[in-house]
Amino acid sequence: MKRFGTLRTTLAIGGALFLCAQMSAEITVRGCRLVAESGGPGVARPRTVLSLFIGRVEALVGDILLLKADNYFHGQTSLLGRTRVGECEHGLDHHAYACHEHHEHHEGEHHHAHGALAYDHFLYRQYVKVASTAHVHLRRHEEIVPWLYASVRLNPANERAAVVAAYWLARQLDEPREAERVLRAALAERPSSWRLRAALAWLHFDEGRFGPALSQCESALGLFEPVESGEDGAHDLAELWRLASACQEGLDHLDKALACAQVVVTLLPESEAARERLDELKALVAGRSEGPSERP
Amino acid sequence: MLAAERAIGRAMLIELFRRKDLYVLGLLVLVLLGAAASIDFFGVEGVEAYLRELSTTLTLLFTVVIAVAVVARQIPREVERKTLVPILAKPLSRWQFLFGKFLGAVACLTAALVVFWASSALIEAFKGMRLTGLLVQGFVLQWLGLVMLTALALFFSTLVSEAPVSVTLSLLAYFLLKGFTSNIHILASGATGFGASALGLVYTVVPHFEFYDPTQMMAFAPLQKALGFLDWLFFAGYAFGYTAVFLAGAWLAFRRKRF
Amino acid sequence: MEPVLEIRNLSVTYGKGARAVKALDGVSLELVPGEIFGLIGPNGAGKTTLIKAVLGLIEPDRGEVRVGGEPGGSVAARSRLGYMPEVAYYYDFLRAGEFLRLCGRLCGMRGRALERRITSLLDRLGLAAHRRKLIKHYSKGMRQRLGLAQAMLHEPGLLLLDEPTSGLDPLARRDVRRLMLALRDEGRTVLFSSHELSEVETVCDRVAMINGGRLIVSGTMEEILRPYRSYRARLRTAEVERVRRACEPASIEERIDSCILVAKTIEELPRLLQRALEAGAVLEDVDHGYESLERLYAEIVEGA
Repeated sequence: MKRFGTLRTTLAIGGALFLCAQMSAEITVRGCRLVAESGGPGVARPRTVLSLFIGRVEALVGDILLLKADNYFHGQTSLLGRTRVGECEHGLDHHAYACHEHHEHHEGEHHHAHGALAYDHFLYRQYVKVASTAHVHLRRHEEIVPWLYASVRLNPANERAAVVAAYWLARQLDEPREAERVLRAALAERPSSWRLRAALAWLHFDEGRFGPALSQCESALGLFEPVESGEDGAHDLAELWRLASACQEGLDHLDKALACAQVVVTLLPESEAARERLDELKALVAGRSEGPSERP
Repeated sequence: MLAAERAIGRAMLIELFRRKDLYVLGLLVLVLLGAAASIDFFGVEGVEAYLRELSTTLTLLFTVVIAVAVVARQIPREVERKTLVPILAKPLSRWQFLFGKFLGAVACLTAALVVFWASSALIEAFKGMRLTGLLVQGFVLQWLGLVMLTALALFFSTLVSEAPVSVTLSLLAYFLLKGFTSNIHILASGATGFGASALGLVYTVVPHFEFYDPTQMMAFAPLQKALGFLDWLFFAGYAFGYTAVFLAGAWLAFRRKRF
Repeated sequence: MEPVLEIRNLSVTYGKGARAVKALDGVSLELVPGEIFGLIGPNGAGKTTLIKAVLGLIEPDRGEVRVGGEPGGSVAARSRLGYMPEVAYYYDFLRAGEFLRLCGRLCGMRGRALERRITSLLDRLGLAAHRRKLIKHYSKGMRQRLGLAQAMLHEPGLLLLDEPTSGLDPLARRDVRRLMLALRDEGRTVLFSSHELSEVETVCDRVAMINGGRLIVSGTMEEILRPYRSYRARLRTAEVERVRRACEPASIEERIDSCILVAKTIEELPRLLQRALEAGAVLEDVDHGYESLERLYAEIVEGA
């Protein structure tokens, strides 16, 4: 009995230490020489020891932690009310995907009771004193990083997590190298993801590296498959062409920039912004009177 | 005053501290927290909320496990081992025995909470995080919730004769109540007529353990206001009220038992 | 003399309906101060149930228990008695001193008086050297002695000992018997249950036998064994068969060159002796005694 108690203690502490080590450093199967990995073309990332034990659960937990990051973004651990995590119009990934449309929220902009129920019960009023229901955007964006970190580490194949993490790292926290690392790790798992390539393209573009940006953009275009049909699918494609146009302009290939802009207008005939951009480029090509436009 | 109860509680504490199980849990918490505090998140500095949430969650989880594991097994094990018999043969009432066990468990949980919260505070201070008065607020809230849970676990331990059943019932009840009651108002707000009234009644009557989960409060500490005196009066009164109800239920179940 | 313990028409039933088992059925007993009272009976007879009903660990269905005038099972009643359970299970993670301190505090004892009492009892029961050991390291005999110590701690007027010598070696049993006698001499009352009939015969002032939840017989040894009193005459004879025929239906036990004539009553003894002498026997000795308690026990249990 005494030996069993010691074994139990050792196992518990050993397990905890291993978990922590796994999170902070890759303990790969190959590294531990546990299994002879073939390392074929589809297997870019060596399996971790942890995944040997918990497999798909690791990925599931990673996805859940992305929701956790979203919760943190909204300033609370659970959204109470009609809106649910991920469905909020001000969702975490909304910022990531729509950053180029000037949708960034500024501090103090959104202090409203969005999501709180109008349930008038004495006990509920007491409950909200210890659990905030106000939809308050987090003042310090750094706080979502641990959950994003855990999410991408546990499930690098989750492209949404990678895109969101890359956005926050590059745009909000000024860590473009880390953002690139995250995207490349995700690409290793999902090399045919156009969203990941698009995010990488935007990253390069923001740094003024138009060549690599264009390369990634063209790859994304080649891989593009509309996630949603109809207007949203056209919108996503149009965004890629817009980026391509901007990259070409950055590389001083105005003719190609103009051609790309033309495609944007074809895809979004109702878009005033697209038409204006096309006109600008036409004017540039015609007279070369203005320099490269400011980055969107 | 309460001499017999204190004697029973003291004996229980001595036994708990001489068993090694609790130390394992404590060590686990410290190891997990320490490791979590040392992870490098993409080189980003100044992340605090996750650590506060993690430490509060771990503390809550482990103290819940301790509370249930310690209390829910007490009476079934004493009956099984017959250690109850020579004690109940002494000149003390069954209520004194029960209350003594309750006091011993609360003392043990208080010690565990102090250790966990102090460790969390130390780790946070080491990381350069600002320690606020909310730490005390969170500690007291959690403590009140655990007192309530201890009484509930004691109640279940008097109902059933097997320790594993008692532990399972207590854990199920706690997590179901905590998870479910916090969402009843969502259902109620969408219901009408009799449904709304029934849900409202349920919401009123069931014990609300979620009041005593300071995770959100600690995670978003800069956004959280401190509770006022009347708020404390309510939360303390609510916790002690339900504690009294559960203890009374335990006594009613225990007083006529044959050993 | 006011009784220390009064039990009137006590009945306890376990279970309900068709599965109900009557553990005690209308048992009545009275114990006075300064006696040792033995409770005997086969396994499952109801001895432990009776003791637990006195303690209030089991609530009876019918009947009344009074301990020193206090209602049985009440806190006041339990303050007047000490109990040693049959199976010595105590808190394994406590030391003997700690456990006795707990018991003392539950009995309202405090401070130095309690410490002195603990030390004295541990010395008296030979546990002083093991005071700092955890109870889980105690042997069976040590646990039994600890059980006695916790029962005697608050110097109760009545001690209920459930099989106090069970599992003990002969010397330890002797010590326990001596202790019981000493307690009686102090004016205390001891009620103990036992399977060791010789022990009961040796120390008890009065005995009660329970079987099937019923009180079969109760009284002093002489009272209960009187029906089994006999007169034994040792006769020297070479013709035992002849003496046997002459004394029929009296019992004759054959010996070498002699026999023992057993007469149940003093009245029939002379008549039987006369017949034996006429059959050629020579009277050597006459004595009277009792059949053992075992005989009574066997008769009652096997006859039930």
